[in-house]
Amino acid sequence: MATGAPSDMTMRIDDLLTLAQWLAPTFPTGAFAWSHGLEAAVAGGEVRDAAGLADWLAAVIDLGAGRADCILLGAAWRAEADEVAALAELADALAPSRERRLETLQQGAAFAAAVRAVWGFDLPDIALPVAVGRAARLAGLPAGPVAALWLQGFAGNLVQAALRLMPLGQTAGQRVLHGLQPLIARVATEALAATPDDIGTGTLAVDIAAMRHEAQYSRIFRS
Amino acid sequence: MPGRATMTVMTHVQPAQTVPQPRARGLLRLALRQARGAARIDRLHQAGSLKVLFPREAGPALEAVLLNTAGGLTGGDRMEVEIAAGAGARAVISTQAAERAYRAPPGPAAEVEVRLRAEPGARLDWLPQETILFEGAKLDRRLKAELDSGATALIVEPVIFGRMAMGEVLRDAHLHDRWQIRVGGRLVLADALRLAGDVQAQLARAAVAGGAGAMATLCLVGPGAAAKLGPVRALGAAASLIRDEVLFLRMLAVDGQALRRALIPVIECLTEASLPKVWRL
Repeated sequence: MATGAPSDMTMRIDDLLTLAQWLAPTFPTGAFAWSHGLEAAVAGGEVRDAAGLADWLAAVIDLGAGRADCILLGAAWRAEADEVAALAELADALAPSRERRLETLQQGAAFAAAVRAVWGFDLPDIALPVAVGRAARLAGLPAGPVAALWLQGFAGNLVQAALRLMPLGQTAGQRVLHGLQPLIARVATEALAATPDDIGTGTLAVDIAAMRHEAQYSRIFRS
Repeated sequence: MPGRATMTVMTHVQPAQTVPQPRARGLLRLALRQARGAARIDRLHQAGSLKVLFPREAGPALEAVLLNTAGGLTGGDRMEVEIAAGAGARAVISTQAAERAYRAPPGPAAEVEVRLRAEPGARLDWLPQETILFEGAKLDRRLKAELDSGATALIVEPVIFGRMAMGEVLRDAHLHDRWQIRVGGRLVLADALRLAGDVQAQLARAAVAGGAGAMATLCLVGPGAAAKLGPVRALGAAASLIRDEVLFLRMLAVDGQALRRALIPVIECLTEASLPKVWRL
């Protein structure tokens, strides 16, 4: 039984498979198209190598959208049906740039469309973390594993983006992701104990990179 | 003067050791209405350590300058500012000095709450001078703006991390600044800035501030926002038109002076009234 306690990481095998399916890179959310400003950060020289990437991603997870979105995910998991719209509105309004807003809204809409079509859940087109949290609640999945795996998926997607943006091998990328594991586990646990009023980010340069990306001449990502 | 030195020591030491610091309270409510081609003061209520000055009554936009007579903020202080502009009324609000957030004793943070309300055609420019965070500062700030459709708000909040002239860096400080801006009841921007703990170490990280010591967040909400995207980018500012009526900017600078130099042309570009005197270099 899903308790929602952040430390509760036990899952039934069918729940585990549902969660793995939703958060796999093959789930049709189009995650591969978004770099969360990383493309501009690489172009601007703020991220140059594996160590720089690791620190950038750690900040995004700990001080940036990683933690904020995890708080939204947890709040959506706990919310009653009539509270979801307000969380979706907040998630939408928290985006610090046009592209970051599209990043969360378009992935959220694609995620919701697939979950509606395959699982038959009543899930509107809303920002991604709220959609994932709500879907997990409707499926009876425990919040702890959902938050941790969602955060790892977010980081993993940015590592994949980095492979296309800078000289970084597959193994080095996986080493960066593996190195983030303790932080991901800690932030997921802390975020589930927080409320939307606790949300606050300090990743100013990440926001600025996302803003600069809009005016970047040559780009392969949508954010 | 030896006598003076002795007095300074006594007044400084005694209250700190025997009685808890008195908590400063401030409340300012200002309502404006448009009459005979200019914004007029409709209602004004000020209490505690918040005062407002009106240096220039003439002109289409009313200029208001806020003053915290407590001389700064510390833990447990609470300041509330509420400004409402009736249909068509315009005001530019600034502060007489930079706001200093002092080291807070153990306990609650200093709280500042700003509520802005603008009716159709009204415009509020919220342009306080810098907030300077001292080592040990704890500041929780909330800004809520409720705009009717067709109203405009320009909101600027510059922050300086530590008294740099003294070489001060922030190893233990807390800033949580939450903005909620609604247009016609709909939440169009929720900004939440939070830096806590070893702020200096965080600012050094590339993803946070790349070593910058000062920052500003700016937001222009209203029908004129879209037209300003090109001009502020031409000034070198990082800006995004998040949605058609919401222009959002973040700025980082090595210190307060550099921030001001970068900020003033951007504010001049975004405001339609002349910049308050306190904002001129």
